[in-house]
Amino acid sequence: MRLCREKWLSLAVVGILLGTLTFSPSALRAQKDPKTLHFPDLEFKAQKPGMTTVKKGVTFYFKEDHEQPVINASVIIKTGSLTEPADKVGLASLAMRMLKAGGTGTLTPDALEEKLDFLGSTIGSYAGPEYSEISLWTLGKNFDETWKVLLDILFNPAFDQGRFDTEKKKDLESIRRRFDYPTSLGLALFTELVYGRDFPEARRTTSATINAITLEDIKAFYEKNVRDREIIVALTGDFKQAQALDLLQKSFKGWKGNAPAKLDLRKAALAAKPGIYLVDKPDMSQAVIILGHLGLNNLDPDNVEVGIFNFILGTGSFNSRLMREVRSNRGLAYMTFGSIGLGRDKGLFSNVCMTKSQSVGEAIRLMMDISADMTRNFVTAEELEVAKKYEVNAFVHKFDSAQAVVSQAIYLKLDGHPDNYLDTYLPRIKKVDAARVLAIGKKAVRPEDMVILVVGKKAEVIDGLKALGLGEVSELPLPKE
Amino acid sequence: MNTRRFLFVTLTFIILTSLAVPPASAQGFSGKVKEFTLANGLRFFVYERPQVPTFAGMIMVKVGSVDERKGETGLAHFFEHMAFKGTSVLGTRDYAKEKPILEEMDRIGDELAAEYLKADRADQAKMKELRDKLKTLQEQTLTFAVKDELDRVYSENGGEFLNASTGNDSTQYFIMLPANRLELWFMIESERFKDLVFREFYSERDVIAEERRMSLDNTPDGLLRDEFMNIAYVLHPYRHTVVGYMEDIQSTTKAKAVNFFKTFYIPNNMVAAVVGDVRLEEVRRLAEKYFGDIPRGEDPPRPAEIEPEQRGERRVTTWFEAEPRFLMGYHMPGPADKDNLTLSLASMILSRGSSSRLTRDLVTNKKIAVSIGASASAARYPALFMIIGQPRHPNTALDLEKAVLEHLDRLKKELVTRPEIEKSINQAEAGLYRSMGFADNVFLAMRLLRNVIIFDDIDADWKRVEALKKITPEEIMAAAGKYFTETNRTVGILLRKERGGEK
Repeated sequence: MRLCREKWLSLAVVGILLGTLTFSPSALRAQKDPKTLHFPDLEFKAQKPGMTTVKKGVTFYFKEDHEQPVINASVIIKTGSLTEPADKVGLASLAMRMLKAGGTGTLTPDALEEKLDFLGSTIGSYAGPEYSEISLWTLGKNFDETWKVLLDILFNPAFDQGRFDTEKKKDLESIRRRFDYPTSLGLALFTELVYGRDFPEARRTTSATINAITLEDIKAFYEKNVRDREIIVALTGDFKQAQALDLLQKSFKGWKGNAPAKLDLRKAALAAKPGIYLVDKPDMSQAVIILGHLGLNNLDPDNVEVGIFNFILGTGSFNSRLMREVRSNRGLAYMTFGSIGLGRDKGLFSNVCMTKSQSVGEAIRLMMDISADMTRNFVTAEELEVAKKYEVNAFVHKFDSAQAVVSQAIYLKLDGHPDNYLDTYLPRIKKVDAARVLAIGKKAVRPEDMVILVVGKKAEVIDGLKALGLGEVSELPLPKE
Repeated sequence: MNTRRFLFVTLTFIILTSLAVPPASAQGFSGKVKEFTLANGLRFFVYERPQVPTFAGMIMVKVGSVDERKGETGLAHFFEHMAFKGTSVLGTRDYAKEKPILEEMDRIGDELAAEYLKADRADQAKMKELRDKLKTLQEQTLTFAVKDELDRVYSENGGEFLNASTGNDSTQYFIMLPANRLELWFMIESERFKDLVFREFYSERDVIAEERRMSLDNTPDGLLRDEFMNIAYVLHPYRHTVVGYMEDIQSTTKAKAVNFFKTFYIPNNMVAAVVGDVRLEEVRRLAEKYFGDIPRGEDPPRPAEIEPEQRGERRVTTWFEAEPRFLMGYHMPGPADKDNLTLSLASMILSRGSSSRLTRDLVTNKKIAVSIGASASAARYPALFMIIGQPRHPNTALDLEKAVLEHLDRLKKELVTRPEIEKSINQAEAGLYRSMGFADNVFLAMRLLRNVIIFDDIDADWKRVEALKKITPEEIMAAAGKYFTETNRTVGILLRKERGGEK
């Protein structure tokens, strides 16, 4: 096929020479060159879901979508792992899972599972750091029955002792398995180095914290943080808005909707001394490298514009510098990425790659240089253009399902973004210039603060690390849990 | 994170092993999907979904790791990486100047591969010299290169989810784009197969080696699975992983990749789907314009091996710094055989949902495991019925094995109940809708084309669920008795080194 094309090209050249053909080879090439195709930017207005207040403390977000006979529902509660006492880390997750796993006043745990499986419906309940969810997926025809189960879980959980034992044992086992993957080990340790072990976002469960949790704690968590607290109900799929509103009014008639308990959480500060940290994993032929420090706040004035910085640094896939240099130009890694993360107080600025033991030093040097350059020099006009065009033209994908439209609106609101966030998103993107990107780099990236974590085979990586000249290599013990 | 050309090996596992019944729309696709075939044999499937002004385009090629020959494992996947490297006008400033350097690199690459294949007699100094030469030449090509331009053009145009995946049975290329970029998709996708330039071949080999280290060699599940498959099959190419053996990756040559491409990347061996805010007539017009001139090829050769009947239990134990893992497999027939579906139903009764037999008994009640799953395969060739589990400390993998065997024995001795069958069918039907919600168009395209490649029927997943309704408890018992035998069994266990005594 390639031959075929070249033959046409030479025919064209011969043709011009002979004066029998009037088109030029460049015209022929142009036809095959996608850069010659130009399209107008897709004008797409941010979609918003319906939103209404059912009653005090019960807000309803919805979007009908009748293409498939299915319904998704979520009840979002403003509580999560950040509320846990330090000696009972894991409480929120266990409590939220127990809502479903523990059965209800009318359904034993076995009967509840049997019922959902028979309907082909699923209900999941989990805790995040700040928000927790009970969510449901069902065929439309089984919505009423599944919704009843969800309400039963929310209003009338039974916290079965046997299931509590099962869930705790699952947690203890997942602690044992947590570091089976070197990347999970790396991410946990990097987070701990940057924030400090006792920082709310960095804490992790241990067998001691799980063993300390009692069934009474679970019940108290429910009474204090879930029961009668403010909730947001989200519904998408094959339903009618008016009927749904009616159903919610009935469903939550007895729900008080009290404001959540206030949380007073610490501010983040870089905990570890900058420098290189190594965890020896003698069985590895490839090392995990994570380097960075603290990132920015969710509501930082650059919280949209940072997307352009991140695209160029390390989220723009093959258009990013990390991917281009570390993978594409040098073949040092299969996976590499990096970004300035946003968070409740501060997110993480992190750069990640996995490379064979022998190239650890080279990869770190490269990643450090890439970060440093973004604090010193303007990005190129071309880089900027690609990143901005991507943001503009890919904007539509943020809205490509009813669920995406609804959950995006809810979480933007919860994180404190203004109501016009999505309307101002593209105008803000379009205004970003190289000076703004550099200003973000200068503000958020601090080469002198870099915490560099390597998980790999010490015997093979140590020389490369020492040769970097970044001070001594601090060895961290492989944590038990 | 934007993921591109990531995670395909994982995706493969999901497709091959965990979707006993792939999800689909309960009315089937045929009412909604229009089909046309170009004169060269390339089939297009168009699913108009105008709700949001985006579309997903996917090309699926009926070539996977199963089509690779011994000594050339990983080629399907290697080629897939190559398909992102551009054409004679995309990814280069001056192809005429770049070309001779690429050819020089291939001469050195061939020499390097030949030396490497001498194994322990290979001249290491010579190999280093050749590698250095390749590196220098690679740097020279960068003078002419416009790096990753295919990605750039797609990104500028709002492309999302740009990726490809290689599996045992197929290779697929996909992206989501704004609806007004339909022609861009056609041009890039057709040119990457008509005018592909295999650039960066040798640096990409290093990338793929890192991919293997990341997904197989340095993870407990990848390592165990690799070793397990190597003994579960003795002959059939399902025995090797998609990414291929490290030794084959290191010794592959450009010529092998080009030959592979010419053999399998022909229009009569490809299917395409466009799902989203598009019109059939426009898709047809552009398909003719961009793909119509690719000549039909000869039907590609297919695997020449049939897996011999297994006549004794096979076991492998492997070691990694991780908690124990357990794998068990039984050879089972492919979709052409009625037992394929019967075993699929058995897998659902065993482990679909919290109230399934294995999950209820071993995870919730006895707490021997933290996770357990059974899956029946539905692939191009007969594959395995698999059980995958993680024992809960202090229970060992052997304890878990014993408990699983008791459940398989029960299937042989006791009829499953009607309500269990009914529940599984309800779950399977619901499952037909379950994959909707995230990147809908891409996943719809994937399901559609998989139905075509594996079953040659766009409604296959729906029909398979319908067919479940006719299976009787007696048939499940008979199938369990026939396939879940000791001599048909392979067991793989991963242990932590210092817990070797656990066995």
